[in-house]
Amino acid sequence: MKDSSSTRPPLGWLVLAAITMALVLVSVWATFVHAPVEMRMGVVQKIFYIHVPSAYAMYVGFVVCAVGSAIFLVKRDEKWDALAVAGAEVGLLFCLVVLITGPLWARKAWGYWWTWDPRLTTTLLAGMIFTAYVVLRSFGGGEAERRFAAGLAIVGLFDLPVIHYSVQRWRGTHPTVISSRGGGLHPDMTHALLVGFVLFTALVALLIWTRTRTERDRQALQALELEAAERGLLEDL
Amino acid sequence: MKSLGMLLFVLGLSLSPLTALAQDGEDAGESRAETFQAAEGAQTENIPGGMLMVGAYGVTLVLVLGYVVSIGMRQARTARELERLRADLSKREG
Repeated sequence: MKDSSSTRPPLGWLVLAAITMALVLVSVWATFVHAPVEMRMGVVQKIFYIHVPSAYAMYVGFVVCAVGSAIFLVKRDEKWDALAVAGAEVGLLFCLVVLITGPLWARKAWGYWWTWDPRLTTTLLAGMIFTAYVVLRSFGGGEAERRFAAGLAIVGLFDLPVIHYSVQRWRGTHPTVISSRGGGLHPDMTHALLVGFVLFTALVALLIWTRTRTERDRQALQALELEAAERGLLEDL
Repeated sequence: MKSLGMLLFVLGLSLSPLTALAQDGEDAGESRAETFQAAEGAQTENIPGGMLMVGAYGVTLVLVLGYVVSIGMRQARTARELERLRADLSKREG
């Protein structure tokens, strides 16, 4: 029987984990020491350095899920399905971070926790779509669930550009700081934000890699159980 | 008739400051008028930004670490089940 599981993580994974840990320290320094306190909002503006990279990490996770799902539907190769599951979970994790850190910042900046602004609403919608994906996959790993979930992920992909451009196309409350048409950042704030983007890139890659390995092992276990059952070896176990 | 007209003129002249005063009184009252409305959100509160920032970073840390722990637990359970199944199968086959 095929052995695809391994308890020992590969060297590349260990290197990436070490880089991520180092980046956490650099990011903490850049956020709390290097970047100045914002003039009008004060210290609460520092939420920006995790809120925006989290949104980016959410996009990465959801895109990985949708791409993995599309390739799975074409090739029916389980490794793409494992990647899709990992992308959905990690994207959902960062979507949750965005939807929690955003209101905490908004409470101070806008005076209220939540408003039905186009960007907030479309982000919530993406979160709900990929929550449905994860819940559906948690019911079981049958072919029908996997195919339906893959379709759902591809539908969810279409919400991502809507989130991104909603702030430019529709009137709302959510500001644009990183934009070619106005806004801007103090240079030291830009450094902290860039470090945040690098950190969250490493973090999202590490988490997707780790979760994909776990899912591949679960698939191996399922395949082994199926093979054993077909050979009549599970009857007395 | 002439005296009646004169009387009305004098009466009007004497009352004109009162009407002007009444007019001024209305303007001053209107300028100070306030409308009490229900507050939306918490604009009048002093919101502690530091606590919100700590909350945001704390929640992010808890969520990411929680997810890492959850992956670790799932990985350990799968590895355990895989090992047990392999051992059982090799026992039966061997």
